[in-house]
Amino acid sequence: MTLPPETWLLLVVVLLVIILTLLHHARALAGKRPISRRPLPGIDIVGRALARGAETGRAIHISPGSGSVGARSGTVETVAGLLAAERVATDAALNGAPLLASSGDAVAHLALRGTLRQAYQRAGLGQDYDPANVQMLAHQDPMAYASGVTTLYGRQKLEASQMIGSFGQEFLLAGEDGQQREVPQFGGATTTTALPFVYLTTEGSLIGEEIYAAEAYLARSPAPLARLLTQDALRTVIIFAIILLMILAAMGLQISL
Amino acid sequence: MSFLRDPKRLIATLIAGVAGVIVLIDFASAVPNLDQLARVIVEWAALLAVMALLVGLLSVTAGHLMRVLRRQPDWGYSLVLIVSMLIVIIAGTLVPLRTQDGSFTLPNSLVEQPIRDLFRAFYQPLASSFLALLAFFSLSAALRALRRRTADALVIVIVALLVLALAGLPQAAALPVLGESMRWISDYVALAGARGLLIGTALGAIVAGVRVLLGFDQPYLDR
Repeated sequence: MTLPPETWLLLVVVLLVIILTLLHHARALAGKRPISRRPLPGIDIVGRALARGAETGRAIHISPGSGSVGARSGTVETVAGLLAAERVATDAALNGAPLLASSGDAVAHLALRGTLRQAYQRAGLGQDYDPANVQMLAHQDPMAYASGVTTLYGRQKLEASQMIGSFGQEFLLAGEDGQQREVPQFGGATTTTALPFVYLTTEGSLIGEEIYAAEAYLARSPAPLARLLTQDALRTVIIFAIILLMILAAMGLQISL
Repeated sequence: MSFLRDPKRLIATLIAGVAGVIVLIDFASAVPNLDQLARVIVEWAALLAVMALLVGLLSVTAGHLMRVLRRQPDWGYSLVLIVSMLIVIIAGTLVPLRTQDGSFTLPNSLVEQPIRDLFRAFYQPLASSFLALLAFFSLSAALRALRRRTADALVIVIVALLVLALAGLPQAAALPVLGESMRWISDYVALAGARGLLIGTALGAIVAGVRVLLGFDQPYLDR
């Protein structure tokens, strides 16, 4: 089988990322060297809400956004949102804090149900998982999904709302309604259409790749920290590559990629 | 527990990993034989997505039906949702269409006339209204940001106002300082920020994808 050069390049890059991921996973699990993290503003909103939720009985809303799993755009953001939701669900199960999860796509809905069920089972409290608390509010219609979230906000008093994942401009509809109802919100998105609204309407916001790091901050186990190490290593490579290309361009050398 | 000791997780991880690599290679270039396999996998994924939609539909219907039967708060909205859903399903599948030879036939797809009429009459005005609402919500968020007086929020609001003013008054772009400044901000500051965001997001996405392929993260597992 003969593969074209660009496919080989892609496979080599993926192989390098796989090696980095395995190395960093082993390092995080070994725990010999401490891994420092920069503070992520607002991440403690969810932790505080989990502690309060167990006492007040008010639910914490979690959402991976209106994106799908499997679509060409939005899949990875939705997966990041699902992983963040899983970490919150694990803590909620252990603390006894009620949860309310919503999604805006049928496939994401099933994934969210599975993720939450796993979280409760892993915490040894599978009997506490209630599928009725995982709601599909729309299917592939971001505005309809956002209006569904506002309905959830209006129907019951929430302890907090975590909306990390695939969001666009519809975030404003849910985020602003949450602000007006004084729901502490923690949001994260990667699109330029959503980010200003996330920033303006939430107490804590994750910008761009920070949504992939959220899981590591929310988790108690060290394994998710491996993700941060791999991302940082790749980021360092990209920074050096940009500097190198800038110097070469300043010297008048043309490089076609 | 390591997934190597759990056969169910191991099988799921192997299926997801192998399928992911095949589709990834096919995405990069068309390799003979492999592209057919990738197409089959994508078709299976589409089929599973349809099943997921069916499960989601049943879940939504059951949830709202229970709300109506138990007369829970706002049960009227649930009733409207169920009736609307039935109307759309009937319009898309059972409303007969007149063919050119005068006979009647059932709709073949979801872009036939009855569904299009329904969407034009109800869905499009509602969707447009929601979009229009965003303008007022933006204003409300901007006012709150101004009250909060944080530097970041103020920058967002001021830049948004400037861009809005330039969009509304194209003549302002011809002004000597303002027009040039906005072009410079757009071409260098905003573009650099957007590219930085894009690169960072792409790196995060690559790592997330590889971790799913390797089975470290398993958002697809439900047991």
